[in-house]
Amino acid sequence: MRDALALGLLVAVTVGLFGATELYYVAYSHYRASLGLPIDNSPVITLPVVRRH
Amino acid sequence: MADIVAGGDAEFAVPKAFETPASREKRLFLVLPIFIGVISGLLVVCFRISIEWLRLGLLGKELHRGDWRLIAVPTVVGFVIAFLVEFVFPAARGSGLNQTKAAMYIHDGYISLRTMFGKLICTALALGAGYSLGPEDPSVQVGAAIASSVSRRFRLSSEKLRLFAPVGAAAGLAAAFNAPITALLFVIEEVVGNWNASVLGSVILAAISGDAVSRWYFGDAPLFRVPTLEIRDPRELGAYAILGIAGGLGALVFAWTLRQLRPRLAALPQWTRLVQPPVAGLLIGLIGFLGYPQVMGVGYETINQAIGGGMTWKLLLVLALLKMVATTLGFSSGTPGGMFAPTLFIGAMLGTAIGTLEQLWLPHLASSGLLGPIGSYALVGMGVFFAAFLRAPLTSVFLVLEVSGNYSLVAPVILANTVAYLVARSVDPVPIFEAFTREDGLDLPSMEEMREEERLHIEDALESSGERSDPSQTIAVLPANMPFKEALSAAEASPYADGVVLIRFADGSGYALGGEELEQLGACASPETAVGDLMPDQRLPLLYPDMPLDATLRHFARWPALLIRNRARATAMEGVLTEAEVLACFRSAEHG
Repeated sequence: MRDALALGLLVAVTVGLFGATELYYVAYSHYRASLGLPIDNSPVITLPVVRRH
Repeated sequence: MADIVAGGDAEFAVPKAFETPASREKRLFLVLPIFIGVISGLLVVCFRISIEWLRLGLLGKELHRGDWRLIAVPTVVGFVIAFLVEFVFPAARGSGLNQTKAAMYIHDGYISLRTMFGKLICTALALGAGYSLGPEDPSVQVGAAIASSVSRRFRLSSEKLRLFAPVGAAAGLAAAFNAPITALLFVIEEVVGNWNASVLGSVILAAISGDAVSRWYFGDAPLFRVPTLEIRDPRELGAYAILGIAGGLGALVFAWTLRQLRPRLAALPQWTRLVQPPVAGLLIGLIGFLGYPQVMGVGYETINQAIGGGMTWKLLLVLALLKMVATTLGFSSGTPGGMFAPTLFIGAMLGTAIGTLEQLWLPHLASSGLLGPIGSYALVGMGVFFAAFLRAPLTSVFLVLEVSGNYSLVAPVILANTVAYLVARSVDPVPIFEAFTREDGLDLPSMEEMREEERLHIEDALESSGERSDPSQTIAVLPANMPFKEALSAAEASPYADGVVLIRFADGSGYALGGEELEQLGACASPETAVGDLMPDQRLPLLYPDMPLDATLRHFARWPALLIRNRARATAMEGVLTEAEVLACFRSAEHG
């Protein structure tokens, strides 16, 4: 039972973090776009050459 | 029925079998790595976005020489980082690699969430402000911290808690590099140090999960793009071997500068820790301000430029040297940040410079196609520097292949990395992170020493006992159908004080015993009874010549001698070993 609760909490945290990361990514993409930078194909520092398709 | 734990109030007694059953921990060891990988991957994605966001916000879209922000931003941010590290997140100092190893070997895998957030915030600030460090090693610690928090929630045993640290570390590194095989190899090669580790499966699951999240956001393109290389003439490999020698020597210079500056800054009074990061930031900013802003920050964009060609060898060498200086300043000042990215940067610049020089000095080879494209030198240079500086030769090969997605480079990479690794190790046998560990007063296991350690096997003891012993001094091996009275005579004639003999059965198994035990077993038996019939059901453990020698030691608590069997023929015998012979083998190995 304790394991089930802990696993449920873990799933909730993972889903919540997915949502937060998605929002962060979208906000960052808007910021890049506002600077006139491409949001799909332009590494600045740490990102690989091609972003999410 | 399960045993009940003795002691305490009976009402709260817990059935022992349900306390921490092995099957429960095994199941969790397969499920939790996936969650650890996903959560670590998501945090590393946010971390990477934060670095870029801060960089764009603080320094602008492009870095230009003469821009006052190049000096002001790292200096001011350096004060903020110094304050945070000194008063809020004291454990966030350093790269994160040694801290992960320390967590595994000293603190039962424990890394606090406070340390993790401190590392994320301080490193993002440092890299965004232009400090010459990298995001990969901190990602290792972030993953390990997630693993620590998750596994503690499930109240696992101390041993399992320890083993979760490398699981998380692999997830963090895989997400940071977009390279799961590299992450797996690095964690096994440099953190765990043992390829037989039971943790291997979990590390793979976590690395793949972390990488999948990273690819979901950033795509699956490799970090660097390099033209396909075709080896047309074996002589071409000579050019890469030269690069290996140069990279090995360059890595020694870089390690030397770090070893000189880091302890000196650490020995300064405590209050100077508040000014060391801003002063380092000021000096790094000055390098950028005076004309070399490429050395600021992580530097992957400059590596891509070098791979594309067109940079002069002089500029490339200057950038490699200045990056060494900038990284030494940033790292030695205690600013959180990793060494992977600077290592790749310096290696790429050095590799491209040497490739350019070879093309200039040997134009006849270049025109006949005996020298590869310049991008391949950049990539091989990265691997070379990684192998020589971080002393992770296997990881360095797969790192190059994965970050480029180009497997046509495998032969030059293996050759050059091996040369660089051997050059660096022959001059300085202590890897840089091990030197840092010793400076910090920790005694963590040395992976380099573990790799070099020669493990003795049972066959070594059989060989040395065969060379040493007189045939008349060996233990008698008696067939199980021998009459008891003859066996007793053999025991009495044994050269060993307690009359040790070994009874062998038809199926190849055996039973070793002393004369006294033999007498007791046959006390009520007829002298003609087969000695095998008097033996208890228990048999000697199954031991084979290829097994580690230390595996024999625990059996001497029960048996006076051990039978070494043949794997191919169960009834064949390879030899008999006593405790004295095993210890003599260890002793002779110790004394060379």
